Order: sequence, then structure tokens, then C-alpha cells
Amino acid sequence: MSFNELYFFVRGPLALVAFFIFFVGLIYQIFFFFRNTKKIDQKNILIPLYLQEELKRVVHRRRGIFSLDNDFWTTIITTFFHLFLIIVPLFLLAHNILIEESWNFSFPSLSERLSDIFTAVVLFLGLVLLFRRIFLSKVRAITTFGDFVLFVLVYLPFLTGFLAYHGLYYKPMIIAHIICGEIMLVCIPFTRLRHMLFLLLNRIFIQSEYSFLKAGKRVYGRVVKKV
Amino acid sequence: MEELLKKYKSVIKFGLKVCAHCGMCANSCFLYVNHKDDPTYTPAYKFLNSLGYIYKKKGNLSKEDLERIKELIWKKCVLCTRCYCPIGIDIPKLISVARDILRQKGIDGIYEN
Repeated sequence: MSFNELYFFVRGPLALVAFFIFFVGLIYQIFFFFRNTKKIDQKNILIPLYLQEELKRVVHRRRGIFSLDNDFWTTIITTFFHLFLIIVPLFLLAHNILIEESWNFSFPSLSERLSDIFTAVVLFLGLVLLFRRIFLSKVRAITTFGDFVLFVLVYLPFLTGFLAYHGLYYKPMIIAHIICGEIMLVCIPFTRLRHMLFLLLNRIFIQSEYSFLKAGKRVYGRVVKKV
Repeated sequence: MEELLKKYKSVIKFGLKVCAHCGMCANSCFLYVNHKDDPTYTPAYKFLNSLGYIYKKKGNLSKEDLERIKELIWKKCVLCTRCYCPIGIDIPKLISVARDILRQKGIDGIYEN
């Protein structure tokens, strides 16, 4: 199989399969979330925390400012890491051209230079988070081998995409990039990466002190039908 | 014990499988803040190695396991419910379920004076 055939295979049928598994997996997880939670009327939360207080507790942790063990910096690092992690693939010019060719619509695009910088930021912050995982004892204590596998899974599409954009072995690199991206998409609904979805579901729908805008009205547990 | 595991299956499953092992909960635990050199005080460590372990073993626990878990969920956690999870996992709920399961096995933690 030549490079061209392989390229058209991974960007055609294989990409469709990956997107299909990704979206079906997400819908499956959402369905199971709502099946395993129930709405309740009474409020069980005793101490209400509001946005100002939540901000206060983040700012309060600015002590030890050059330490990796600092939640102020970790908050900033993870926020930008995850923000660019989602923004870059969605609004990348090259991705949008492919989408336009296939389905005749496209998202607005970032300039190439800006997405290049954002990718570099993702790559750098990813490494910082990896070092945090390795060198901080509190994180190392809860780290399993799977966490490193997932890190590689998320890191590789960005690394290969970055190298391909800068022209290093363009053809094989872009095929590796597409394959890595597809593997990551397929893995999201079925591994720990589902925290992408459950961050929103948990904090919007589940009743807790930290639910966004105090809107959560559900708790875990199935509805028991009265006989 | 199977009953309890079944009753709380959804909260256990979602708690264990969604935890991203980020360690952001550590500094919200006052016991961890006072024992910074001992990572076993991290809230995520406490629930992953108590309830997570029980769930993984499906309740087949040796005596040493029970002793270890007992120390983890009674001595190293006081259920003050101040732990904070960015993803919204209810860590105190998971620890209290682990306590329920151990009580059913006849093990109870007694606080020393």
C-alpha cells in the first residue's frame, strides 16, 4: 500500500469510524449518566459556596509561588492546557479545509501562526503536568501506569501535528498524526479521558457545593419504582 | 456487602472511572496540609485505595487489607466534607460507603483520645 492510498484510507473511512465511535460513545455515557441519577426536591447542601468564595480559595493558594505544589499555578496551567487542547483542533485551518471538502461546512479558523503558538503551549504545559505527576509525591501516589499511557495518547496527536506542520517527514508524520488523533477520539468515551464529559455533567446536574450556579438538582442512584 | 456495592454501584463507578488522578484535592484536605510529607493523606488516595480496592476485589479481602483500609478511612479521614474535586466527584460519599462496608464486616474505627 502506497503512502497515498494509506493517507486516503486513514482520512476517509477510518476517520468516519473514529468520529462515529466517539459520538456514539459520548451519547452512551450521557444516557447512562441520566439513567443512574435521579432528580430530588430537597436540598442536602448545608454550606453554600459562591463564585467569589471559590475564587478566593484559588487566590488564597498563591503562597509558595515557585513551587510545583501550588494549586494557584496548577489551576492556571490546567485551564490553559485544556482550553487550547480543545480550541486548537476545532479551529485549526487545515482541519477546517478537510471538513469543508467533506461536508461543505466549516468552523471559523484561527490564523496559522496563532494555532502554531497554541500548539507549542499545549506541548509545553503537557510536559509541566507530566513532571508534576512524576515529581510530586501526592500525585505520584495516585498515579497508575494507565495515566502515562493516556498522557502519551493525548500528547502524540499534538506532537506529530506540530512536527508535520514544520515539515519534518511530512507524509509519514501526517499519517501518524491522523492515526494518533483517531485513537485518541475513540478512547475518550471509554477511558479516564471521559472526565471531559463528566466535568460538565457532574458540575451542572449533580447537587453539590461546587455545582455551577447552584443549579444541580440530581443525585446518584436509580429511581426506585413503588409497587 | 454485595448489596451495598450494588446499591451504590453508580456513585462508585462514576467516582472511580472519572477521577483523573490530578491530585488537586490534596490541598483542600486539612489533614494532608498538616502531613505534607505523607501522600497517603491525599483524598483521592484514600478513596482509590479503600473503596476502589474493595470494588476491584469484589469484596474478597484479607485481614491485612481490612486493617489497612480501616486506618485509611478512619484514622486518615474525619469526613469533614471539605475536600474539593475539580471534576465534581463526591469524595466524602465514597469514603462513607467504604465505612458502611467495613462496618458490615464487623470492623469499626474508634478514635483515640
